[in-house]
Amino acid sequence: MALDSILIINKSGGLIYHRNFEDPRQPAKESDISKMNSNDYLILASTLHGVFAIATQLTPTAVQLKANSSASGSDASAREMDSVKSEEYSTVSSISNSSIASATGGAGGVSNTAKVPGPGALGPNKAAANILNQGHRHLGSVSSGKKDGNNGRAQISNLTPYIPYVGMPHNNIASGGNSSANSPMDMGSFKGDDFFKEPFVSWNTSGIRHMSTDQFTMFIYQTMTGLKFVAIKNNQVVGSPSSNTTDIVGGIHLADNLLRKVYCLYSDYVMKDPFYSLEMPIKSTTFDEKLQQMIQNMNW
Amino acid sequence: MGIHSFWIFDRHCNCIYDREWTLLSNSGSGTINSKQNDETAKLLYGMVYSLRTITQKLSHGSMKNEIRTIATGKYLVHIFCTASGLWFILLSDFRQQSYSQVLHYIYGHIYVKYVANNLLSPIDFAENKNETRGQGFRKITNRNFIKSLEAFLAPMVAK
Repeated sequence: MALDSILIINKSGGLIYHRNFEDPRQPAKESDISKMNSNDYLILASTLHGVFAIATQLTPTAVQLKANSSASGSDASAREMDSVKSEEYSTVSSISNSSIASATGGAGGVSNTAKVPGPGALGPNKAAANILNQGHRHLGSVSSGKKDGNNGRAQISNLTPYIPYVGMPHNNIASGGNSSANSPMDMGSFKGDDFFKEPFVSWNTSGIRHMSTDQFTMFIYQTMTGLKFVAIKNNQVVGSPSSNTTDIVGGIHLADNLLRKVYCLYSDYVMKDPFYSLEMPIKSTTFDEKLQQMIQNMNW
Repeated sequence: MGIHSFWIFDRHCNCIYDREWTLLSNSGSGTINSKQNDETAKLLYGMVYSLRTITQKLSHGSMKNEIRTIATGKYLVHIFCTASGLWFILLSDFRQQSYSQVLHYIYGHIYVKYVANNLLSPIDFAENKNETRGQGFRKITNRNFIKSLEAFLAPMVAK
């Protein structure tokens, strides 16, 4: 189990639930993540909440222009806006035009001086292509089953595909060697063998959805009511070949599926608890148990 | 559109280079070292700074934990931090998921070559005490740097 912790942040930025998970398959060791005390986690949660708000304000101009032009139905307006912009601001077209010419010529001053790892005497154009090929990963391979338009490839489509039986005990899935995980799960007020079976719309359109670092990956799922579910996944897991994947969009979709199920648990065991007061920390043992079971079933 | 914008921040929390492309059909479009982008630069810096503190708090062991990418619903942010406190930040769409080698190349072969190894270029872009707390306004205006950076990044703009 590579999932380190689950956090739930309420709509005003307070931490209302936090839980670290230990891997039962690995010997218990002193994890540095547990060195953080509950106050640190509170700070972390509100920082995340703030950064989430900033990220929505940072939309690049090109994306804004594209949205505008697709709304008005003509590309001309975007072009017009851009020409206005380039007159207004300091333009670089003269620089870049000359540099492109030199790059395509392959004998410009720039290309001679640019040192490329590999075969020498390549222009910067080629250098870029070279480097791109080395670390290349296309989204096409991720969403192979899904038909995406051009737009969907450039940004994550709002529709998250349904990934079957994420975190559910099911025979189709090789559950991670844990026999108790195969017992059918009590679904609470949900029927069937999975909480939902349809692709769903993500309400988190412009906030942070994913953050990856050297050691862990963080996923954020936001509900329509402003509740945030955060999953922190450890990158270094021994004996799991799929753990070192860099596939961002696939990871986001998987995490969204899992966290939506956590949301289902939340709506069942927290919202229907008469002793729970809104926006306050969650202290429900049933919710704890169900969540633990779901994370155990998850073989990430 | 492959990449949207490119930013360099120095260790004094100042943005010392920014480049934004606005038109996918034209890799020469957009702004460079623009005053209009100051606010955006501060927001971007704040976002990355906050997330960096989170990553460093949540790290295991003695190994340094650096932030790599941030994904929102609309764009991807790629971050490369050097030990000298420089941040290289690239905003892109989701077509390609790793730009770490691109950022390494920009640092190693363009920044070091045309800014660090340049006698005429200042070592530190904050010239006095008043500019060290994020109040600086100096940018990299080196012609060779801009030219080769443009040539290197142009093929990635309209992919």
